[in-house]
Amino acid sequence: MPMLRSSHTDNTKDSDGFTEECVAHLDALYGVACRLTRNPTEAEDLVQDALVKAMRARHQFLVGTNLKAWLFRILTNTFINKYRRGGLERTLFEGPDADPLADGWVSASTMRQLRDPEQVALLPMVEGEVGRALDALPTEFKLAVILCDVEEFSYEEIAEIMACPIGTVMSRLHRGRKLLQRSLYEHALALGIVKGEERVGGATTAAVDAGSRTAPGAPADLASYRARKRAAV
Amino acid sequence: MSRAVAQELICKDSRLIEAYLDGELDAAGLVEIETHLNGGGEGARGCDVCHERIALTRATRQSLKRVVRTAALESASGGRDALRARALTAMMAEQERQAATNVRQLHADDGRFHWRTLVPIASAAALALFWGAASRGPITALGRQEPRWPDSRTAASMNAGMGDDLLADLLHEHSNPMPPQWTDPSDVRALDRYIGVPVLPARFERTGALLVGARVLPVHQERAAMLQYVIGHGASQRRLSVFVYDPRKIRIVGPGLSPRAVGTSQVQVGQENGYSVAVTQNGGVGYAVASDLGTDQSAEVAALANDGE
Repeated sequence: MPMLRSSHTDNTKDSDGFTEECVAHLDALYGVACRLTRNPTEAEDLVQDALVKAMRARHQFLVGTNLKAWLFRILTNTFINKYRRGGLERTLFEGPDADPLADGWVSASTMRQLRDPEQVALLPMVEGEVGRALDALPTEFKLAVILCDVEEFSYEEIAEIMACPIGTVMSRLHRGRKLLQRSLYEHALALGIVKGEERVGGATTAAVDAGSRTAPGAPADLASYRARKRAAV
Repeated sequence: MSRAVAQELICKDSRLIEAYLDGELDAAGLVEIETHLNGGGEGARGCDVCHERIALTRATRQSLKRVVRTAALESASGGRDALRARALTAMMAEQERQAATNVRQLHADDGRFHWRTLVPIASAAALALFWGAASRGPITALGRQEPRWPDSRTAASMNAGMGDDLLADLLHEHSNPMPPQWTDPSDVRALDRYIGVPVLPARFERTGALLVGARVLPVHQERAAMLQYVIGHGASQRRLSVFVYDPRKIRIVGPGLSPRAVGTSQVQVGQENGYSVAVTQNGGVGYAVASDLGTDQSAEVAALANDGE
């Protein structure tokens, strides 16, 4: 891991500058901590704990590498060690992962209504649902989605923070976003923002319209997608 | 055939669209996706479903940003400044702890040290000066007396045990604090195994005080927990120490303490060496509050010991 490579004392930042630079990321760390713990007090404790650990391990930080990503890795590990002794890795074919969540699950017009409800007054309710749906996500999906969509880390940085391959990051992002959108869809359906779509053979009619039948094995990452494409040619 | 298959694959697996949105595709990937979205010439029409998928994903992302950032700003107790002050204080305490460890290491090395160890020692001295100045500033204005013991006492002699005048000893610990040994609130709560009574740091945070950390103090043959808090920030920051102990084993008495009722609580209040002190008991647990604040405020903090956690 480049950002965790051990460095000599000469490479260690001066302590005051290091402290200030860490605290500059406080809002971002606290935002993620709030979503991970779902408790403001615990989030404050988690951030304090992570920053103290960063201080303790600052000689390991290589100047010139990504301090924000390094801090998020410490925060993530602290959270796992404290609250989730089992770690982020769990059976990927349990719970929400077992659902194939085929693409093309709703039509283009439904998606249009979801992102742009005709009644603007409904928008805060839809956003409220985004927050609730985010909280309901399994931790590894939630973390991947927040790190990518809110904190705008690259796949490579997220892979380092979450200590997993890039393909796993893509998969977690995909599943997380899909679950969020499905939750949003169900909420919008209940509110009458969108109309239900008739299901045909396990897929919606819209999915069939879009030419999206359930794929027997979805590609796991860009490389396997390209390999499949080459095979198809 | 090949183009049709490739286009169908893009529709089937939105991970490609997501990688496109996340800026993770190389030039070849970008061309493939944009061809899919906009049609590949020859009169071919772009993919409406994927267009909408992109728009929905972007809209969801904007909502997520607002939700995560707004909720975080609203939920920080005492606001962002308090959170920042707490984080800085905890990090400085950790730095000071490391510096103190280096000093001990220096003594252990029998005087043989490398020039590099001088840097953290100087840093520790600067921090100790800052910490001391922050705590003493307001007291000087009130005519603070000199502490009973010289400030140059070493960690070893402080840890050797308390003298007979326990109240003065605890006040000395407050006025010349060593860095906390534990900063994680859950570690602080776990100190009950050393003290023999529950240690509940959160109840004293109701005044707006923020827990910096805790130490265990040897008191004769027994132990007390010293919880270290700060109130406010910047030049107006004050320190607060709450000593938690088993009152069956440790008794804190002094001629300067007088009883006072705060709500339904009975608190012994006094002032010594310019610091205020308030002693109380609740549920078989003893609490002594020493602070840079006035006696009334210390008494109110001590009375919190009688509230539930």
